Amino acid sequence: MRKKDRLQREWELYKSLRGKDLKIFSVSTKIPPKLNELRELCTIPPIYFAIAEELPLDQVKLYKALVLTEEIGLGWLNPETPIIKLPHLKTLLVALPFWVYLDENFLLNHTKKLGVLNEDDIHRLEGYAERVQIPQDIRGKYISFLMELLAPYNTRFILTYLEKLEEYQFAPSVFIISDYIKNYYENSHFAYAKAASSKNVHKGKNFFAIIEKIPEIGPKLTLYLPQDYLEQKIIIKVENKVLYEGPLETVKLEFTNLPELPDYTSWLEAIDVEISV
Amino acid sequence: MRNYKQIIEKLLNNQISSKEYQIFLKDLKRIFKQALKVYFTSNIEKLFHKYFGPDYLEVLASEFIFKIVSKKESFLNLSFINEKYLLTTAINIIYLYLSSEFKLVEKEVNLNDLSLTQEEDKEQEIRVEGLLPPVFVNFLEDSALNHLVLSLKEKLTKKELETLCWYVNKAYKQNPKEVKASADTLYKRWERLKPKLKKIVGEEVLEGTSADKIFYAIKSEICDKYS
Repeated sequence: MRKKDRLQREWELYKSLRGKDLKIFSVSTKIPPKLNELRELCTIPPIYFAIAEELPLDQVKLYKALVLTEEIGLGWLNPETPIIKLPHLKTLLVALPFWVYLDENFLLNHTKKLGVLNEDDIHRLEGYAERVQIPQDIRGKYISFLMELLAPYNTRFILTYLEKLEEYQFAPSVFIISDYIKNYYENSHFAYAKAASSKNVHKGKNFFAIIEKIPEIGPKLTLYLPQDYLEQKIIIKVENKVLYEGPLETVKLEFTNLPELPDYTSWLEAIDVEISV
Repeated sequence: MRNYKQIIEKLLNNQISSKEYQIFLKDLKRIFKQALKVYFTSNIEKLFHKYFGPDYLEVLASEFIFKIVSKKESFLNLSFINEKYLLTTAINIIYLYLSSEFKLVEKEVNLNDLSLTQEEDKEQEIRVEGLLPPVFVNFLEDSALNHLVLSLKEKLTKKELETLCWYVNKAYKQNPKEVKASADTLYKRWERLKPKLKKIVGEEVLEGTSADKIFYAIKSEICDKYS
């Protein structure tokens, strides 16, 4: 049996304390979120967010929140890892290399404002999250675990605003679907499928998809995939036809030369994204 | 599993007796002792002793009390406070001290001095730290290296470990342990091992950690123990 090292012991302690689900509490003093704030999510052990960006939408605001943690050994990746000291709370935080999108109500009801960071420090945290790769060791396991815990909140909010997320900053990878596959779908059952309520947005188990009809290029499919799939080999299929197979370089993929269908609902629902082994 | 909820609630509602407070402090000292022993090293514990004297556990326990009061709402929200949560909190306090080179200590917490209703300043500016003390960075680097070395031990075969140590000892210009293979065979084995090694070391990204440090850790944690 493997001798346990310190990181292994820290990971086991963390897992036994956290459990499988994220149990979150409501705060008694509700302070509306603002840009550059550091906020604490009320859960055990707590998770922290630095508010890096505000996406002003129609009625509710969406915030890009960089994630920080109290689990220093598991979260610290290299001497560049940003550290925040909170002497008044006797707490030390390390930044993690990922972020989530959370809405105003979630931040208002479940997070406590701890203080304000300056713009330079926010950029430093943001730069670190964008630049640093998640290692494939026990620290990577911990980071992925945390990503999964936050995913339901992250994805729910992204889905709500997906159509409006033009500001989404990832430079997409663009692919042109072959004429053969285009024709195949145009002559398949998808050409006749009509759902009860037509939609151009779909949330799959691990992706979001949106169809936009652009006059110059025709319909375009945009897929948003999880950040932890980056660098991994993935396969994207619609029913039994492969749209893309290969390493994922950005979390946003665009496909053009789409089949012309009267309704994309069932075509979108047939999309399947998997990590290929 | 013991529930600390009641005692913490009493503390926060100013209803704790002096005797109960002393018992709770004793528990916290035990938890810090465990944290230092299991999640840090004896050298780190010695540093606490050096900076705070023989009562270093008392100092840390007082800091814990300060933290409970500062995070009153979070603690009161919990229906069950088990020892693992206290242990995790203690570990973070120890890291806070390492990151501050032991310069953070408040005066000893006196129960009567605690302002249990104090409102924290939510507008205060929080900063990302610049240069961190070597004691903090070295400890974390060592933890990552230690993990890496144990992964190597687990993932490499006996023959591969033998080859690795032959190469590391050669790099350190030390006489390697007697290996029943010619230099030519060992070179070939080393060439075959390199991609696997690269995959393991590469998987466990150690940015900023020099190859020297990795080699030294392999030598002291694997090779010296085999010879």
